[in-house]
Amino acid sequence: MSKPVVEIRNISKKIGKRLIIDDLSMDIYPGEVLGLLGPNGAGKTTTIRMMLGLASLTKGEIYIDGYSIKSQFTKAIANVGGIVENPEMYKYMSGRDNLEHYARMHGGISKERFDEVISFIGLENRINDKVRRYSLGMRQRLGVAQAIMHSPKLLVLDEPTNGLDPAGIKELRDKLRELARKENLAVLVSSHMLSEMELMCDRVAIIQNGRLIDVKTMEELSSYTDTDKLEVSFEVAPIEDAAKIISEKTNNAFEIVGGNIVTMLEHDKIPHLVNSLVAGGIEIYRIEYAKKSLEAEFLAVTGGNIIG
Amino acid sequence: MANFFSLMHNEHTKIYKKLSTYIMIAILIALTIVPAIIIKYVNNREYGDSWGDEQYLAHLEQIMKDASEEEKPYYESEIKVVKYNIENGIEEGSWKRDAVSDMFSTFKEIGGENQSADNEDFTKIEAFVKNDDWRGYLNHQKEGYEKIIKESDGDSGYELVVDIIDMRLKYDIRPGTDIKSWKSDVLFSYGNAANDKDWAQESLKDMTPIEEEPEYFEEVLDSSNKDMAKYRYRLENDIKPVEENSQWGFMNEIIQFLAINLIAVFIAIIAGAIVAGEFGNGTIKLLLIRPHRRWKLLASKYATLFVFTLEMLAIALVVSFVTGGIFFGFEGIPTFLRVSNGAVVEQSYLIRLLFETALNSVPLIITFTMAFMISTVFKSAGLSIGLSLFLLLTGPTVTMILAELKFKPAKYLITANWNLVNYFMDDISLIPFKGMTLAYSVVNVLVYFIISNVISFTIFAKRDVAT
Repeated sequence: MSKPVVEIRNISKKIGKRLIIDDLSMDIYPGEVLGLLGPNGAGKTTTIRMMLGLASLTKGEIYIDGYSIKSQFTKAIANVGGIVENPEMYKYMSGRDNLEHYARMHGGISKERFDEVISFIGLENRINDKVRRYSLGMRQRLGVAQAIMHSPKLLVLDEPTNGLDPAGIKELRDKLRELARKENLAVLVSSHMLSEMELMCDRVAIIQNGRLIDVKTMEELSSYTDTDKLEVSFEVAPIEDAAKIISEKTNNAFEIVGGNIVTMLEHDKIPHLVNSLVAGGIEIYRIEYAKKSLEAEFLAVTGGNIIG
Repeated sequence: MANFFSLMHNEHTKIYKKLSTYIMIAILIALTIVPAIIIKYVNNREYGDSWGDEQYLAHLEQIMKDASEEEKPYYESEIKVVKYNIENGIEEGSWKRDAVSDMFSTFKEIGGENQSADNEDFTKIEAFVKNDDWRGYLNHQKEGYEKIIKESDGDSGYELVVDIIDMRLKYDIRPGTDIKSWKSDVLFSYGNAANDKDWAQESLKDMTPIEEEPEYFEEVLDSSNKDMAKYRYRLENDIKPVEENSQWGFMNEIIQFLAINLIAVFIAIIAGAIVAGEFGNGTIKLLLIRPHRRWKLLASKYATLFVFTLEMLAIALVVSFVTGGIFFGFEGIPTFLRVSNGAVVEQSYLIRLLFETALNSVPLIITFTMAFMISTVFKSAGLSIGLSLFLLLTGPTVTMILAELKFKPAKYLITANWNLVNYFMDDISLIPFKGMTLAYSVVNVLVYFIISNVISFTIFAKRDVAT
């Protein structure tokens, strides 16, 4: 395992009497896309703000590429690019002007890199237009450009898909995965769009009430263990005979829904049941079970939307 | 250090990418040119219709019919005067008119004695008139006054008149308002200043300490003395004063009274928006997630305000120079006079103009510093522009009122101290409270300046920024 780009060590944030982030620790590795999940008010945005230097840390430390965000801010943040919600640009300037403005703040961004980034985001033809004429999708792309221009090691995105249409969302997802692979970037994404997270993330960190509940890989979240109970649906004929076999071989309840038999069954018992059905002369057209969903997992782990 | 200049470069570019900036510049240029047109037009106009001589004569003859016996001689001599003027073509405003009145006067000025004109005097004066010998006439008058002065033993009040006659003779200044000359104007001003001085001295002498305070009269005395010294110096050294309708006079008027105030409004607007705007726009987040310490980001914005102010002043200077030259003629740099340690000192008008501009910029700088502070703390452009302009516009009036009321604590206010230029104007009445010195005001201004910036930078550095 390579060295983490981000090391979050026991961070806490207190506002007045409320502890909104409570002893949170996490690592983010290069080349991975880490999703930050949690109900409203969990502290995702606050955690991100703390990582970016936008909010102060009451306790703890955050290291980016080994530099402390508290005591070595400029060195730490030089490795970070951020897209925070819809990135705001100066509407009265062109896309190019905006990017030059931010490039100047980093120093040493070559013309080649500048042009490379503009073509990566696909805005070559509109880059000289004033940003007030850009659609939301175009502004989002410009936002990606300002975040990656200085070749950071970490990309932080807070609700990046806000307001984008499905095409825009897919595009963003593809670009982010490409960046993570190609440039070995570590990407941290905080989003409500569970379906998007499922498609994009390698690992998921679940936060609730300012605490880190769990960190799992997508693998772990989407594959079933042998003992997981699933809702399995069989398209078989004749149904009545199949039903008899199922109730004999298993002790589970079943119901007949639209020509299918649906029953709850452990994952490792499926092959055995199938064998029994075949042996009983049943014709099997289809065996189906719902993929494990992130949503289900999420709600299970967080116990619903309890704030505070 | 290089990256600090990059930050300023960014801020500067952002200002010049906005349309509103160019509107401000256009207004500045327009308001520099328009006054030139107004001044030129006003100066070219003919003034009023005065009664022509013939009409006056007819009027007098009309009055004569109804006049009483006592009044008749007066009107008779007046008619003779007017007729003589008409017959000899003596223009209105000419020094000769005074001489002619003198010729026919039945009332000698002193004591109002009813004397008919001396034949000897009549011929003498008429000779002066016919020969256009104004010097001769002046000497004749001088003799008369000197006699009175000798007889009255010190308190005749005619010393000034003789002094002025002497100056006319010495500096070759023809009396009369028919020919415009700057020397004659300066002499006129000298006379006024001398009168003020005498009046102030008399008032101080006669004043009862309980009733009035001496400060006012002391101020008038001081100013009059300084002015008289300057006027004398001008006549002695042939230094023409700078008038409003000359290139450099126009420049000075425009810069000190129009440009500075206009630029103050503009810079307050920019200062109010430069921080608050980033918050309102949401761009503040992208600015802060950069390898720069927060104080540097804020400082680059603040420094850009100074740069922009200088740019606006430069525009005002150049445009007023060119406009002044076109409308009033290009001329070399004139001389400026001021009084230092009792002596009159010469200075280049350009240096003086730049000096006054720099000092007049102090209220401007304080205004935008406070706008910047309010903008940073409250994140509201509107509030900061409103409050700082309120301070700039009502400050002077409030200070003046408090000075009139002699409300001593008011000398701690910034508005009482920021007009540093008043310590260099040879006019102590401009200082609102007695005992205030340049050093005191400088310290006062610095205190407000430092506190304002400490607040801005501390709040900005510590604040959590919402997404």
